[in-house]
Amino acid sequence: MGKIIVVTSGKGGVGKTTTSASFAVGLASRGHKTVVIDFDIGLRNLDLIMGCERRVIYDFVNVIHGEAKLSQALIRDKRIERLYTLPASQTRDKDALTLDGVSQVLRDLQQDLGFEYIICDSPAGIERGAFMALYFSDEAIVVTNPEISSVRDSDRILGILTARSRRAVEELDPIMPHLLITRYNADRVMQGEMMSMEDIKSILGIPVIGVIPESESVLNASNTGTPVILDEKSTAATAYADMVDRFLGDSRPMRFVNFEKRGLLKRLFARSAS
Amino acid sequence: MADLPFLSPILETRRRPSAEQAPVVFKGSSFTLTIAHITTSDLDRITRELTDKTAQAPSFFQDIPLVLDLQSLESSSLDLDTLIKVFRAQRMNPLGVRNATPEQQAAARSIGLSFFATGRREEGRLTPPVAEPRVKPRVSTQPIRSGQQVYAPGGDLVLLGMVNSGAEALADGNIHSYAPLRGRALAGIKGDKEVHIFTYCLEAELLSIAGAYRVIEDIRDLPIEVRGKPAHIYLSGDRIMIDPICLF
Repeated sequence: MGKIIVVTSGKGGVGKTTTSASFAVGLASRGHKTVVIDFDIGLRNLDLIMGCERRVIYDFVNVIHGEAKLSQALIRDKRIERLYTLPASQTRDKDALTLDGVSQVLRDLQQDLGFEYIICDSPAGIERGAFMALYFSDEAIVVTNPEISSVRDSDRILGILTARSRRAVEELDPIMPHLLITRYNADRVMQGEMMSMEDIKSILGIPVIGVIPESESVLNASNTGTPVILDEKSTAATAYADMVDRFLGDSRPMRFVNFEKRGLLKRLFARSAS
Repeated sequence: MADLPFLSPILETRRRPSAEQAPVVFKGSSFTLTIAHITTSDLDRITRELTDKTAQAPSFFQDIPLVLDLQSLESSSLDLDTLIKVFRAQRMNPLGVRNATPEQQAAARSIGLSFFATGRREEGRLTPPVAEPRVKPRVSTQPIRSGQQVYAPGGDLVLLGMVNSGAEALADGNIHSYAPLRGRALAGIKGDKEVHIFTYCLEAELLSIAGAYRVIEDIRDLPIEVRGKPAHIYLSGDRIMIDPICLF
């Protein structure tokens, strides 16, 4: 039975869509039939990041409303076999999503179409769109920037994952959370200006699946509609590839983190002259 | 003068193996009995009182079973034998006595009266106040995340997971935290001032006991001895006190 994985954060602009795209490409490249779904109804951008925006005919909401079949709405990726995108609607809004509708689409993807991995790209926030994206998930990638408001919002979304998801409500095994730290700058962490991986881990208390360094290649990727994992020269690409491997069960060392004992928070607790 | 019902002791009989019925079967039951409080040992006055009463309500008092309460008697020299005869002359039927001195009990026993449960009408409390039933502490093992709240009504809260910034932990009793306490901790929220907050790692934003509170705007406001370390929080007057807990 295909696994449903939500990529969420709470905070906006931390790298959910960038991650969803690269994660899906990584899984499909390693031989797994993968679909990535845009849950940001009305402000869709997964199709841009995947580079298929001109091929969107039908979307997620059309399928829920029975206006199109799933096979008509799914966009097959031209670069990677076994990879598909289900875009969001640009004109409707999040009220168009219903739990029953979403549930049916996910079931069809798992059973009829045999997808192994179903990536749900969540919008920012904790309202309807984000809730729909996380409700049915089996695992969650919680994308966090090394920055205090992002960490707080990630904590909030973790609370919702553990309390209000389907697995929580039906008292099944809980959603397995994975922490993905994005836009990490090891130098600034060394200088004590930025929260370290250890700082974030101690606050959120979930295992780290990857640390993606800040990289200019991310902007280039979205400009060209090529998920950054495909840019072989980029450090972010390497980091995403490591993250996919870890997710699939291989261990990989963290390449872009200097193991930092004195991140920002630790300095606050140190003996200070003041 | 109707008083408390009297419950006779319940005696269980063992079922006999055979179908034969036991000759005497004891069973518990309860009856409402009138108590006659005897306030004087002057038998003449008692006789006159009883005569008046039976004249006022003859059917009520006819053959009435009574318990004689002897607590109010100033002197214990009471001619119990004659007293019983006085009541019986009025067609009242004393079954026994209550609150009798040892001498009175001996006299009652010799004329075949029962002893009934003491029902002291003292000022103030007879039985000690029933202690509040002990409510088991609520133990929380999961982290309390930003925006979440955990509450232990009627008792203590034990936190084995961290309380993150933006989360709240509340208890009517004490709060015991064995993980970082970063959010808000409110103990004694129903007004108990004698509760405490204990934590292994103090980084809290707000601490409150019985409504008195202290906001910690900047973690550096906390003294170094308790900042991020084991601490004991309690109320002294209206002030929230924070003491370090020395583990070694």
